[in-house]
Amino acid sequence: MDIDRLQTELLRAARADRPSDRVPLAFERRVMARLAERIRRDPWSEWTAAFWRAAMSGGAIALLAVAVNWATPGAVNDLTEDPELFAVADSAPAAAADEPAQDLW
Amino acid sequence: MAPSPLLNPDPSDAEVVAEVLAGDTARFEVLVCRYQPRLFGTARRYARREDEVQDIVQEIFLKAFSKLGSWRADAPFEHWLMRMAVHTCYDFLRSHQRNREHNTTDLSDDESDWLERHAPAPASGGHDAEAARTLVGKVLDKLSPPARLVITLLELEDRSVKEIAALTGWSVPLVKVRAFRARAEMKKILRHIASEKYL
Repeated sequence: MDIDRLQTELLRAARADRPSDRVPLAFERRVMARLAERIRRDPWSEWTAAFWRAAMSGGAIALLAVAVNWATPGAVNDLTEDPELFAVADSAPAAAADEPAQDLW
Repeated sequence: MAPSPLLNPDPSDAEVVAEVLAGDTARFEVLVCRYQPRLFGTARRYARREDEVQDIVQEIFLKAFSKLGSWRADAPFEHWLMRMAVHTCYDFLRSHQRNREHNTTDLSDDESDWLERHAPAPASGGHDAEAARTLVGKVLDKLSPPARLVITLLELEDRSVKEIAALTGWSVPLVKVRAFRARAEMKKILRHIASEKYL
């Protein structure tokens, strides 16, 4: 059996028989009714969709920032690893406590 | 002076789109009436049940309305709408893929007759186009969505590879690759049907 020729013949016959373009009665009214319904509903659905898009984008950016932070070599993740910065941070509350109270006001 | 829409019995697509975008949404009905026969003809190539066809066409118009602002008047409105139609039909095929499994031996009498006449000597015999079309429909139902889309556009609608690329958003080489695979897939299915019938 010649499948190639069978396929060609089948497609040729099918091509010759175009599907109908008949439109059901008052179909345009159905479309316009659905459109009107969608327009009425749209303000809320648009807000909801925008909110979800913003939330997803925010989450994705946060994840990306965390990933970049962890992947960056030499990034200081722990302040105690930097002795100089640690010393400044450690002495700051003590220095503030030594100042006279009126200077704070 | 530009004619008033009320006086113009046959406004251009661009005029109607401008009116709709200006807030007169009821004017969209002009576009629906103008293009619905074309869209029904297209949708019937992808869906067999009439309720599915109507849902597809409705979906195309709803999408077109919501994206009307993205239409650039430098290309014909019909091309823009047809691109949307092809995408909607493709989405339909993908969402209904699992429901389209058929028993290939489940052929009607007409389809069996067509195979009996054409399988032994494909070039001979008359043309029962309706039987051939439904038989092709059954074969197409077995194809993957991209294969079905490309066979329909290329073989049944007789479109060029470039046109298909423009309609689907696929690159020209991708259309060619998918067309090649689709033909091979179709042959495999035909071979299966024929062997079930004659062995």
